[in-house]
Amino acid sequence: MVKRVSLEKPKMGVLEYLALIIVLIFFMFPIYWLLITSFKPKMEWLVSPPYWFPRNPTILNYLVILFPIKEGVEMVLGSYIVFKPATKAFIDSAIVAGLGTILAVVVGLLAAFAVSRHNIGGNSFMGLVLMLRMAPPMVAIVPLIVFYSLLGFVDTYHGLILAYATFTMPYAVWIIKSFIDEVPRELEDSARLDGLSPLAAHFKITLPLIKGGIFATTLFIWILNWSEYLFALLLTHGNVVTLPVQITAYQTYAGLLYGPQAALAILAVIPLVVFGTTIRRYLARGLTFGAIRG
Amino acid sequence: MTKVVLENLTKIYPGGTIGVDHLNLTIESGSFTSLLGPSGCGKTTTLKLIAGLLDPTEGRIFFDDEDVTYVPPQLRSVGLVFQDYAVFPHMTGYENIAFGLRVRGLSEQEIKKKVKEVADLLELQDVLNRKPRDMNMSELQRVALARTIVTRPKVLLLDEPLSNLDATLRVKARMELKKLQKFLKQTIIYVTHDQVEAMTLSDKVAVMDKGKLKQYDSPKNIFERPRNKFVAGFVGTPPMNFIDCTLVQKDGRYLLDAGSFAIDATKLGDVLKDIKSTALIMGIRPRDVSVSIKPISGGMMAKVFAVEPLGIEKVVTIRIDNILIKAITPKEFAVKLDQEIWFKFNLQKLHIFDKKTEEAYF
Repeated sequence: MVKRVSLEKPKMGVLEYLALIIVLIFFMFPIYWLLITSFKPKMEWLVSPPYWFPRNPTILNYLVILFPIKEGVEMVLGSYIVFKPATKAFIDSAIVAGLGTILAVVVGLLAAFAVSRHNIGGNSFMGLVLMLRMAPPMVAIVPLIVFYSLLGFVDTYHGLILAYATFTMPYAVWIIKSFIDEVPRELEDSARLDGLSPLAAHFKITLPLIKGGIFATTLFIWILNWSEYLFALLLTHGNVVTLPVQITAYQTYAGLLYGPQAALAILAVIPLVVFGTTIRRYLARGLTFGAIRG
Repeated sequence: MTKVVLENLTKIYPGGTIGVDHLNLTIESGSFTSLLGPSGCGKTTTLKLIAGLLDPTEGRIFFDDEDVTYVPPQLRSVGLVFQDYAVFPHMTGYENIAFGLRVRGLSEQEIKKKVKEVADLLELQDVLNRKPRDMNMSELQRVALARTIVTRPKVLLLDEPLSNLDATLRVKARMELKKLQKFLKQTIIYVTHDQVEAMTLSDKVAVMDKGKLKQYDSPKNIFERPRNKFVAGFVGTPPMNFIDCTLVQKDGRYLLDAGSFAIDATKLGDVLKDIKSTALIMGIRPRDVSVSIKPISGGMMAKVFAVEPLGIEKVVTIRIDNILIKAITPKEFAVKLDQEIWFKFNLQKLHIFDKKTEEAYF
């Protein structure tokens, strides 16, 4: 009797599903807790035993962070505290993390081409690039503050953008280089013989092939920049406010305002989820770190 | 049509590896020339130097009278088909073939016409709308070839283009290449480690080893008159038999003494007089060794060491003490292992090499 071999993916058994569900619960629980907290009124934030669902669901936490009008704030908090509207934090974060990410990816891409295709910097260059990230950022922050003060970069958009781009660029170089390395050099050589300059060959041949990798790198670096706290806290004081800094603003003399914090955290996650979902089809390929074959 | 001249061409890679070592070669305009040699002999490096993808450490490259040594590849008008074809994976067959024409700024109408011409020539009509992932090796190879010849480069370079094809396809592709060469009348430089490809396709063959040119000649001369032991051993299947020997002159006769046996080479006459050294290597192709199960006049005795049937013929390895000699026999030739057997060399086909320099005397 001929045994049929199925080329389709094998069906998952009950145990596999169970394992997946456990993993999913483990990773999703903090998000779930954030979500329900963001809809809880103040008295439900810290009750013991905890409520697994809000008993009196409210959107006041959201209203308070977006439109901090006096009556609303008093209703939520029981006292009046002035907050800057979180909309500014959204805009500032978008500007700083967005431009910082674009700068890191663009510079990282060019550097990765230089290293991968032209062997610029020799064998030690990639190690030196990574050394930028070997020391914790805390080590760099004090000299950076002094340096930024002299340059007048403290509490400016360009100052924070530059810091973000500098500190995430090593990741960009390393990740993008690994994608470029996967693309056979002969493809570019072939394009050059067809009449393209080296730079044109990089951009017309290799770049389209590593598109997925670039998207994955961009998402990764954007997540780093979007959630960065230390630089944003120490290099700004009011003119530029990013989301992680804004979230800490809800630690007040009236206590920790978990509701508004959770609401802002939920809102802060949304752009990442939207971007990640939009580029999902590229991600699957990009995150496998190079699956290009000629 | 373009003549390619390599003058003292040397490439030393960072780290000191020598790719090509003082190579001098003149490739005639419109000829099909093969660079033949084992892996790492410098043939692909030579090709990349001609294409401009590598800069030489020393030496010059001329296309006709124009010095192109430092002309960037995009301005050289050279086409190169890579071993792994390097077909752009994100473009269809049509887009791949049209790529070079688009870079040159041709109108879409002209591009369409030229792509159709070359697709007809290489029977590629069916793959024009397909992406490389949906093509088989033979189709990929032809798309790579089509993409290269469509721009009509001055010099066409082929880097082992048939090595990824299976045996049957390879024979077919070889014939197609030969036809194509006649049609294109273009200077073609072909890199291969397969001697059959080099011998059947080429007007001239340059045999290389360790970055050096060992012989540059017609396929017939490469086979019949190898200039050194390397060429003699590399070309021909099964390879030539090499036997260490000394030249002994005795009573007006010349003997090639291999220790276990000696060959009377007096008949070769004057050519032996020029040999200064006495330590020699004699070389004889298996096809030029005759064997018999009965004693033959002037023959010597040996024992059968191995028998390899090849279908239409057999390769019989015979052993005299520690010397192994391969002979080709008709398939009907029946012998058993360790059977006594007589053998004889065809003196006219004997090659003599200096043991020290490994250069051929004849």
